[in-house]
Amino acid sequence: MDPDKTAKPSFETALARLETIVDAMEQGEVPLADLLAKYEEGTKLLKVCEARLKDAELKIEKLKKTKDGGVVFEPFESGRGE
Amino acid sequence: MEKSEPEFPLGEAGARVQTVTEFTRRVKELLEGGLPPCWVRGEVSNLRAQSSGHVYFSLKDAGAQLACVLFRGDALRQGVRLRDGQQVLAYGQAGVYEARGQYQLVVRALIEQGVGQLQQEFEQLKQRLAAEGLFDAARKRPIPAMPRTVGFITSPTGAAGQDFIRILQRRGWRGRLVVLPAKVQGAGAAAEVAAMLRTAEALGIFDLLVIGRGGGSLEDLWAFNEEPLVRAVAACAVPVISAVGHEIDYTLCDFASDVRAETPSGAAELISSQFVAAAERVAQARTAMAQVLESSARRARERLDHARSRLRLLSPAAAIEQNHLRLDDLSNRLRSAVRASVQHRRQQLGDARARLAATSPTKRVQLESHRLLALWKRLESVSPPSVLKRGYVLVRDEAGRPVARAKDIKSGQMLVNEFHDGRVRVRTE
Repeated sequence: MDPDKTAKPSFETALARLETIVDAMEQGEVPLADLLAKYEEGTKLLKVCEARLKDAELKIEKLKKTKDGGVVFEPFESGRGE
Repeated sequence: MEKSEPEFPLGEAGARVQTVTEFTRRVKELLEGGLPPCWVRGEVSNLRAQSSGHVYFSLKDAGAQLACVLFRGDALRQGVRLRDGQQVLAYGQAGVYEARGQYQLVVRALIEQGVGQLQQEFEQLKQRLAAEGLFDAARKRPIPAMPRTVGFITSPTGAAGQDFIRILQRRGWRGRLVVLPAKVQGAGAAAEVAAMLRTAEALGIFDLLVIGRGGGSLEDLWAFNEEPLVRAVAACAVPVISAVGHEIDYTLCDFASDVRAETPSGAAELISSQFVAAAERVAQARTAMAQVLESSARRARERLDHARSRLRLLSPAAAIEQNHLRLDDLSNRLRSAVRASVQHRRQQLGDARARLAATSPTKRVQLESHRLLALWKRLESVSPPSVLKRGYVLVRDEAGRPVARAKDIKSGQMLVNEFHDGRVRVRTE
């Protein structure tokens, strides 16, 4: 397998693959051993997706250019107030 | 006539005399070849739409008028609805209609004068970039369902940014949003936005970029129609949502981006909806997987149970049990058959015995003895003692011979009267 994919698939890749697996599993007449293998892979992908969902938190920042041409991120202050 | 020198000499054999057709064709060649297509400004008058779909009108101004034709195919492509008195810019080429010796402008494109120079530039640039394939649907990339980091290139003080953030917050989007400040209006705005796009691209942390600003006039939004920015959007390695102005405003960045949102708020709604939908998809996948596994485990268990019971039927123990059952059954049947048979014979024997008994001599002997007894009784009843008992008397002579007739008796004869209970000797008179 592609080491990049086993290492850390993106959420979208993982979700798309997961849905493909679920579809395949739902086809019925899947040999039990196959089904279990698929379940195992599906569970891994599910973990990736769920971890990603769980880890996500709202963070709002603003990019600021420094004098030396670099960039820094600072918390975004609402310019007008809410 | 022939004496006077002609002012305009005819050539030999009339070689330089042309037919009307020839002349007109030369005019046509001159006009059509010598006047490249161009834009002409004027007022529409004498507008006639033929049933063929071709549209005829004149363009006029204070000093002149120009016959124009807009052929059906071109007419269908125009966004402008022509009316008399309308000021328009018409793009086309001179054409000569030989049959009537008229020239006209064959119009290929029309714009309303009022829309102005910017609109014209917009359309021209749009066509040019579209022809390059910059807006092709095949170039569009899907927006990631769950971007970790979103960059929003906009004015840090504009309402668009505030709306965008508020909607993401309200709709429960989670992720990192970085506002990338840039001037979005006025001179240099396009260059600033394009530079920020490239900066964001170079940082490599963004999964999605949004460029946008709130509504404004065509001039206000103009930066998003400038070629360098449009090209930067099309070339950006990160998917871009263009969210400029209001629903009705279209900018060239909208066409070049991967997704056009009607407004910055619309972009925020799109991003948050995808987030929610993705979370929902994950939940569905979890449920579906559990269901599939459970149902297939149930199916497998059922099959196993079925197989087990079939196997049990086929096992040697079962065969032995079966044979036991058969044996018992057979022995039962045998026993009852024997019993029935014995009973039958017994019955037959009984019958025979009865028949035999019915025909036995004893019976006959009894019967005959009864008859004999009856005969004997009848005989007895007529025997002399019986008769005597009934009061008769047997008369015998002295020799003991029965006297049956009165004439055989002599007077004074000695007779013996025999009663049933004794004899009396008597003398006759």
